[in-house]
This record gives sequence, C-alpha cells and structure tokens, in this order.
Amino acid sequence: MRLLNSRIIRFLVGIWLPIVLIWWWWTWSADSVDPFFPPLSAIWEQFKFNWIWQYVPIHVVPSLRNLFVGYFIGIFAGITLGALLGASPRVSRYFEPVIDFLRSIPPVATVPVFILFFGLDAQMRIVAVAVAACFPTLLSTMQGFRATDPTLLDTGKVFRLTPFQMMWKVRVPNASPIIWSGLQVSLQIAFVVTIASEILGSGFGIGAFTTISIDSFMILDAWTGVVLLGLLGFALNVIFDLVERWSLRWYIGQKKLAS
Amino acid sequence: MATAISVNGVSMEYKTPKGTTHVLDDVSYEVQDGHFVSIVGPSGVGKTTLLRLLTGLALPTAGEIQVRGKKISSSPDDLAVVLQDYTRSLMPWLSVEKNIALPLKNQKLSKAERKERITASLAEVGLEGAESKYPWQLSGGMQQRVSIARALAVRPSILVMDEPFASVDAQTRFDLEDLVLKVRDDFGITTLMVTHDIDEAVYLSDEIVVLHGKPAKVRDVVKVDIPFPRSQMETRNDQRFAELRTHVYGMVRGLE
Amino acid sequence: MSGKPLRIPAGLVSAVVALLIWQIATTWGPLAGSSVPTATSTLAELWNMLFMSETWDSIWQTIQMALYGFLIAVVIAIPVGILIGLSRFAFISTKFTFDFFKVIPPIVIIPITILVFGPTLQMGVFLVVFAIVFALAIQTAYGVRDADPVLIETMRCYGMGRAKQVLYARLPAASPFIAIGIRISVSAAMIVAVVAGLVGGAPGLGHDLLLTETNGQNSATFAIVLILGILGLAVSRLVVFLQRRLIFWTAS
Repeated sequence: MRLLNSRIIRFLVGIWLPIVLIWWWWTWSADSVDPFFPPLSAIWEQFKFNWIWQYVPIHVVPSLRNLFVGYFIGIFAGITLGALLGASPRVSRYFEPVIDFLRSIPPVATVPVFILFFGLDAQMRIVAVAVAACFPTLLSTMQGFRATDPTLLDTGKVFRLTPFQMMWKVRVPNASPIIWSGLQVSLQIAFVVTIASEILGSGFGIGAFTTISIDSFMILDAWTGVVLLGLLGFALNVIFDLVERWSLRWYIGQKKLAS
Repeated sequence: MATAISVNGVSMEYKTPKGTTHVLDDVSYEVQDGHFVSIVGPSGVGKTTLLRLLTGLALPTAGEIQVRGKKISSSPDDLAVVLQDYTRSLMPWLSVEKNIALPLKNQKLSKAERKERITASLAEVGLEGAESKYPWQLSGGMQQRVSIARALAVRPSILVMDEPFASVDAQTRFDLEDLVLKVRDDFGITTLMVTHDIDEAVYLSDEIVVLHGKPAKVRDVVKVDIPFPRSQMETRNDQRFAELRTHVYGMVRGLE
Repeated sequence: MSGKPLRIPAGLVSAVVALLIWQIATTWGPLAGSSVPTATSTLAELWNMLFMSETWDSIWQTIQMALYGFLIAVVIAIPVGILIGLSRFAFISTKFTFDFFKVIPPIVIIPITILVFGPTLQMGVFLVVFAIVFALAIQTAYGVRDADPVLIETMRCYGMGRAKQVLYARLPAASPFIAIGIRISVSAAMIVAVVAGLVGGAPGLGHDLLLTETNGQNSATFAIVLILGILGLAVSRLVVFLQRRLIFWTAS
C-alpha cells in the first residue's frame, strides 16, 4: 500500500477503471443493432465529423459565449450584493426572506419566466444564466462576510487601513474560501441553465443541436452532443479547480499545516 | 518628562439585553514618555475593555483619553498594537513582507523607503530574510515577532500590547520579553501592556497599574524600582522583585 | 439583534414590498402590457390551482420522482461509499470515474433517457439517481476515511476485528459527512425532478410549467414557479428539522 504514495502510481491506479469502462462500452456496442445504442466507434467517427470543427462556430461558440457572459455578470452582481448585505446585518434582515424564497426555486424553472420577459433570443439566455449564477455566489459571499473575524477588523482599524484596503485586503480575502465554493456552484448551475435555455428556446447551441437531433431521430448526432456536453461539463470543473487552488494556495497551505 | 497618555476619569458601560454592565469606573492615570507601563488585574476585570479604549476601537461612556494632549476619537496616528492572538491579527493570505507593508501603504513613503522599513523592522526582531514566508509557515513565537515588526514599521511613538506573550511557550516568552525591552531602548517607544502574568509585569515595567473591583477602579499604581538593564536570571532572583511581585499579587487577589 | 420577535415582521415587510413592486411594475411600470402577469392575477391563479386535483397530482408526481430517486440513490451510494472508503486502492481506483460523473449535470443525459424511458416517471427517477448517487458515494467514502487513525490503531491493539472497527469508528466518523451529503441530495433531487419534467417531459410540475408556458397561460406559469419556491423552501426546512432531531450529535 505504500506504493500508493507515489503520484505516478496513484495516477495509473486512478485511470484503469475509466479505461476498462470505455473499452467495455466499445466492445459491447461494437455489433449493436439497437438504434438507441449505436456502436461507440460510430459515435466517435460522427463526433469527429461534427465537432472537429464543423459545428463549432454555430453551436459551441454561442453556448460558451452565453455561459461565460451570463456567468460573469451573475457572479459580479452576486459578490457585490453579497458584500453589501453581509457587511450590514440590519439591511440583510429585510432582504433575506425574499432571497431565501427566490433561491428555493429550481434555477431551470426560471427559464420559462425569462422566455416571457425576453422572448427566445440570446439576451434571454444570458439573463437567465446570470440570475441563476448570481444566487449561490451571493449567499456564499454574505456568509463569508459575516464570518469576518473581529480581531482582523480591529487590527485593520488600529493600523488605520482605508475602507478600500479593509474591503480588498482584509474582508474579501478572508471570505474568499467560502466565496470560491459559491462560485463553483454558480458555474455548475450556469452550465445547466445554458443547456436548458437552449433546449427550451430552440435555435443555436449544443443543447439545441442535441434536442433537434433527437426530434429528427438522428441518434448518432444526439450521442455526440451528449458526449460533448459531458466532456465540457467535466473540463469546466477541472479548469475551475485549478484556478481556485492557485488563488487559495495560502489557505490550502495553512490547512495542510494544521492537520 | 512629558505625558504621553493621560486617562481622565474614564468610565465604560455596555448595554446588553440583560441590562447595563458597568465595566470601568472613573479610571485615571498618566503614562510618561518612554515609560513601560503594565496593566494587571484579575481576569474579567476589564483590561481588554481599557485596551480597546486606549487604541480608539471604542469610546468611553464618560471621561476622556488624551494622547499627547489631544483627546482621541478614533485610532490615534502614532500608535501601534500587538495583539495576543497572532494567528488572527496577521493576515494569513499575505506574506510576512506584505503584512508589514499593508499599514505603510497609507504613509507617504517611496517604494525604496518602504522596503527599507520592512527590512529594518524584521532585522530588529531577528527575522532577517523571512519576507516571502507566509505567517502560518512560522512558529508561534516567530509570528509574534512579525506582529512586533509590523508595529515597529509604522514608527509609532506608542506601542500597545494585549497579552502579547500569552500564547507562546515559556522559553520563547523570555526571549520575546527581552526583545520588547531592547525595542523600547532602541526606539524610546512608550509602551503599554495588558497582562495577567504578574512576574512578566514586574520584569518589564517602570510602573504597574493594578485594576480591581466591579466595576473596575485603579487600585494602585506600583513603581518598579529595579534598575535597568534587567536580565531574566538576575532580576527574577532579586529580593526587590520578589517583594514587588508579592505586593502586586496580593492586590490583584484582593488580599491587601 | 433581538432575534425572533423582529424576524417575522422583517420577512413579512420584505415579502409585501416585493409583491407591491411586482404589482406596480406590471400595472403602471415598465412591464405594463407585457406578457408578464401582475402579482394579483398570479396570486388569484395560485389560489384557484390550490383547489384543482391536477395541481396536487403534479406536486405528488414531482415529489414521487424525487423521493424514489433519492431512496434508491441512498441505498446504493452509502454501502458502495463505505466499501470504497475502507480500501485505499478502491478509493483511488474509483475517484476519477466518480468525480467525472459527479460533475456532469443530469440535464446532459436527458436526450438519451428520453430514448430509453420516454417521458415517464421512471425517467425522472433515473435522472434523480444519476444526479446524486456519485456525489453521495464519494462523500460517504471521504467520511469513512476521516476516522481517527489513532482510534483505529487502538482498536487493533485490543484485537477488535474489521467489522467492529467499521461499526464503532468508521461509521460514526462518516455520519456527519453522510448527513451533509443527504441534505444536499434532497434539494438536488427536487430540482432534478422538476428539470426532468420541464426539459424531458416527465410528468409533474416541471411538465406543467412547460405546458402553461407554450400555451401562453402566463399567470399559471408564474403561479407554478411560486409553488416550486414554496415547495423547495418547505423541503429544505424539513430536512434541516429532521436532521436536528435525528442526528443531534452532529449539531454543527
């Protein structure tokens, strides 16, 4: 078992199961005549044909653009509002019940509402993504700001830090481990709402492509859409983890030392 | 000798849901320039409250505190603090250098001057070359040295310390005590320290203010007439040290 | 902050103000004459819906999908999580695969489930299981691995077998982790049950939402969104309440 302490061995041990699963899918589906489960080899060929790079400009680009524009608007609003509410408990007492209610609505269920507001264009999707992405970040920022250690604030005051320094050098970094966890949930929700908005408000985007494929019984195309979305979802999380770990390296180091 | 701090008839009350708590009652004393003054008293007597008033973190409900003849209404300019809980007063997300630099950003200093100050204060506390470390990579004693360096870097004329050595081991504690005495000599800083350790108060101070009672009043101001320089070995075995410590201990316990 | 006596009025005030803003915006404000219904017409619709059996059927169908999916996921995930957590080899072997499926939202596989199950209750249940089973298993495994090594070592010294170690050291260590996992899973189950209806056509509130929206019954659409909010709030409160009651030793 001591072998498992080596990074390379750990990587190899972690990778055998996915390889076996893909190999199993490949051989099991090789002679498949079931129209719903075409051979993996066929899916792979179609995947290359569709996504390298034929449909990228009309489907992938709009999906990612809506996702990222909406996400960044949402988290910017979330952090700003969360900081304001978290720093002033008096004000937040009035907003909290409404926020509590709004965040209890499944984010995807708001998509029809935004269709009523804005119709079916890209603007609707961006707003729906932004609103959905806003809440987790808002709540975690509020929570992070409330948990500010009074000793830190006292220290800042005695050393006569400016309000700007108090905000960006003390309160925000102090709350950042909690804020980051909210940002991650926001990203996952933003991804789901992006897909939902494409499926419901048909047109362009990977989600729309996949549904249209199903409706027109292009099963192979639908499978490539599902695979692409799965890989994208995973890739977004991996990239997010890397950015988060880099940004919170002080926090991770501190915790490692403590344990 | 001029008066650095004067506390005039200071009272402090807190309003809580259960009613009003009267913590300090008509506390008065003066701290001379360059003196080292300790504030001692039984636990819960209001030492920390007094410290918050001295640093301008809270304002007294009656009376006033003057620093060099000026009544304070917020944290005074040339005052710096060292708090007990270094893990919560140093910013864990900033390196040692940036922790010390943070309060300096608001003083009109060139980049080179700032760098100079940081290097000099770290040298003063014996932490040369620790600039790029994070606080949590250092031992407790070293973190407290960083706190002291941060306070020194702003070149204060008054240093206020709240139980500065309560969270470190005994050996480190002696080292830090001697460090504080050296700093006082090097810069001539007026130093106020809140502590519950009577030996430490006697060892370090020119004067000891004893608080007692509920609400707390100044029970006595004891002059420590043991000559400087002091040393851990000799001073603590001194006849006079034992007498003073017994005297202060008796007052804190309410026996005298 | 004198807690309770002020809390309810504050909530009431903000709820009333929010409704007023909504009403004014849709009657005289920027949204007047738009397809967005007024607060009063939405509330009236909500009131009507409360007396229709279809509404309650839909609510029950949504809850059913969430509940069955949740129970199946728990029955699979917790034993699997415990087994994985007991062996370092098993943990590392499965970690990547489980993490991969954990972060893939169920909406991604809805097109496939439509092919396999059609727009049915079973589809909703399957999606709920898929949504939570991996995260819950990983969470359980982490909990099992979190057991105090000194305690395990001590038990081994006293000659206690593997079974006793699991029962008295591993499971108690895992229970707070499992509790958190379950709390998150319940909320996720409700959300996915709605998504299954809205995007996949499974029965329940999600499907109603889609129908009213495409039929232009705008006040009904808004009323269903309100129902979903109330339902979500009620479920999360219920879980917190039950957990406080049942596992009081992990109060924090």
